[in-house]
Parts: sequence; C-alpha cells; structure tokens
Amino acid sequence: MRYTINGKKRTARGKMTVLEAARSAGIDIPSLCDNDYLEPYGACRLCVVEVREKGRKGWRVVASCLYPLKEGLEIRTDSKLILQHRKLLVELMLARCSGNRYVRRLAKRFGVKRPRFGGGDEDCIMCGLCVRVCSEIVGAAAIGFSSRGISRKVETPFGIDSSKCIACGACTYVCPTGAINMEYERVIELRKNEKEHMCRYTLMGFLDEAVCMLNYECARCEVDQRMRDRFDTHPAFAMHGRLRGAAAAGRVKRTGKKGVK
Amino acid sequence: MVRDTEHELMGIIEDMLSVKEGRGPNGRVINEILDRNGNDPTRIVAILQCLQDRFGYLPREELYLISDLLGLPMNRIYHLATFFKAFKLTPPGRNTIKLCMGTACHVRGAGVIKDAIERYIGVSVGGTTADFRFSFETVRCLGCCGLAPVMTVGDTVHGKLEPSMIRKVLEKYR
Ligand code: SF4
Ligand code: SF4
Ligand code: FES
Repeated sequence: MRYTINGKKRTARGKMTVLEAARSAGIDIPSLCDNDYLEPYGACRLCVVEVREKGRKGWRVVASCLYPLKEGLEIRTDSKLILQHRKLLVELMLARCSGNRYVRRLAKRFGVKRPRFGGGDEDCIMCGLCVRVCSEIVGAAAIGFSSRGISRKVETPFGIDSSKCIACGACTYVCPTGAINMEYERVIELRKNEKEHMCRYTLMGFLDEAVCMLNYECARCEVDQRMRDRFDTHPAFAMHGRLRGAAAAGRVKRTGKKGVK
Repeated sequence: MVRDTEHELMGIIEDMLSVKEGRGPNGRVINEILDRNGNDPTRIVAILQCLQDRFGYLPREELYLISDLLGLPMNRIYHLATFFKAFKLTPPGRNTIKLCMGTACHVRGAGVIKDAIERYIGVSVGGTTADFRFSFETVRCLGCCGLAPVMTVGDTVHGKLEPSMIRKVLEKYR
C-alpha cells in the first residue's frame, strides 16, 4: 500500500490505521484516548488529521486512530487547520476541567491560555479508557457511560455499588486525568464478603489458591509494588489476553451470543 | 447406554427450562420478549422498547435478567437505557400529566402553568410524586394549539388553562 504523509511517499503492508502509519513513519500525532491494547474509540479527537483519498479532490478532517489506511491516501498531520482544531479541542477540555492538573499541562503544551468558555470543575474528559479497559481487558464490565450530552458520565449501572468490580485498579491506572479513584473499602470488602478469601490478584487469576501471608490485610500487600516493578505497567495490561480469573471468565465477546435456546 | 444419554439430555433440558422460567415472576414475559427478538444482543434497543411497552418503564431486576440471558454486560444496557430519553428507569405514576410547551402554548403562558402544576404536585418536570399519584412531563406539541395552553392527564385533554384552575383539575385524579 502506498501513501503520502506530509509530502513524503511511503509504503505499508497489512491493515493499519492512519495513526499507526504515522507513528511508523516517525511522525508524532497527539492522541489521548488511543491505547495499544484497546479497540480504538475516537473520543478525544486530538488525533485529527487531514486526508485526501485517491481520485478525490477535497481534503477531509478525520480521526486518525479510527481511519483505515488506504491505497494512495494523502495525509497532512500538521496543517494550519489541524493545529487550530486541536487547539480548540484542548480549549474545550480545559473549559470543562479547568482545575485538573493533567488537562492544564496539556493546555500549556498546546498553547491554550484561558478558555473562552465557562470553567467547569470536572476531572473526567470522557475518553472512555476506563470503561474499555474494564470491559475489554479485565472482563468485569463493571463501569460504563450513562446519559448523554452534558449529563454523560462514567458510573456503575444504576449508580449503585457494582458487585462486578474486582477492585483491580486498571481503570485508575489507565485514566489520564486521575478522575477515577479506587475506594479502598472496595478492596477490603472483597476480602470480607466472599465465602473464601479473595483479593484482586486471585480474582484476576494471578495467584491461584492464594495463601496470603499477610492474612488478607491488603493495606500491607507488597504484591502491588512487586507487580509494578516487574511489569512496569498495570498487571491487567501485562497479562493482556491471558487473564483467567473470575472476572475474565465472564468476558463476553463483542458480538458473542451466549444464547439461550 | 441409550437410556443414560436420554436421561442426561432430559436433565440438561430441564436445567435450561428452569433457568429460562424460574427466574423471578416475570421470567416468562422476558423470555417471550427475547424470543420475539431472536435472542439477539444487537437488537437490544428493540428489546428495551418491548420491555417498556409491557411495564411502562424498565424494571431493574428484569434488566439484569436480560443482561444474563443475552450475555450482554449491564454497563452497555445501562448506557443505552439512559442514553435515550424515551426510556424510563422509574415506574410512572398512576396519572401522567403531559403539559404542552410548544410555541402556541408557550406564548399563551405554559410557563406559569408549569409552575402551578409543580407547586400543586410538589415535583418538577420529569419527576413522579412519592405516592405515585402523578408523573409530570412536558411535551412539544399536543396538536391542538387552539386550546392553548393545554395539557393531558392520562387520556383526557384539558385546554385553555389558567394557573388558578390547576388545583381543581388535578384534584379529581387519585
Ligand atoms: S477496578 Fe477493575 S474491575 Fe473495578 S471498575 Fe476498575 S477496571 Fe473495572
Ligand atoms: S474517568 Fe478517566 S479514563 Fe474514564 S473516561 Fe474519564 S478521563 Fe477517561
Ligand atoms: S486518539 Fe483518536 S480520537 Fe482519541
């Protein structure tokens, strides 16, 4: 497949998105809701680029993390229009999360000073990373979006404590803005509630038959730290596709029919 | 040998039936709805519509049952159920007040009528009173602008409203 990116001709093999192609060409496109382990979602729109398909005249603005690379595609990743778009997007994020440290840093990087719009004090930017990691990797599907428009938010179904959450912390780990936090009670509850002792690592399937030397006092647990040292990422990501715990057992395929017939 | 397999098969079928029907008082209804939609998770919106037609809202237990039977995680279902304004997650009251907020009614003072209703029943638009006597919603046009400002309570139309009439009109509905 031949394509042109920022005027340079290149070839690629196999299916990939424009974002991946750009990265392989060493061109940096800012992206926020894209994660190598998760299905592309197209929520943040920071990765916008201009493309022109073969035989077409006009340029179009598309989200590169979702747009498949095609034969003869021309791509512009840093035209004036694109830079403008990105700046506006970051401005909107800043308007929504005016107090969030991460968003402020992002704004600084994009040269946004003060948003022209009203200042909200949210933390969540609706990137959907937490929702996706919980469904796609952990398999617990404990949290999801609800409502739409300005009242859209991330929550558990009906906003009540979800028995599905295994307190693995993957959502906390993956959230770029630190909007989602683990209630420590949740970790403790797991250990109290079950007939047998459970901890998140048993539930994820790392520790079979865990005999906890700390008598399930998770506050003193060192496995956390050791996992972090060993994998340098959240264990759920490190074990991607190989989680075999209670949560992963309930994993549903995207179009899967666990039919009743 | 043959007998054994037969027995086993019957056992499995019985198990399946008990899962299908023994779950809650409305298990049968739910299965009917799911069967009508081919047990297809991608038809979830249609399934929710059927459910709402049947119960007037989306009952929580039944949603969980559907989630189990379809193998569709609850977080997706909840997303859809809250995404579309047409779905209700709380049971409606015995009498549903629909106040028209269309252009004609608006001009003729539907705003004050709304306040009057809210004052009388004590809940705001979109709410249901604690005793389930009334639910209150606003709609865009009832199609009888000549009667503006107009509302319906259940199937009855009340037109040419004035704030002072509200008490008298609503008193009748229990
Ligand atoms: S802690 Fe794990 S299981 Fe719980 S909501 Fe977050 S990702 Fe899902
Ligand atoms: S809580 Fe964090 S990860 Fe989840 S959608 Fe919001 S910003 Fe993204
Ligand atoms: S990375 Fe493409 S939309 Fe977020």
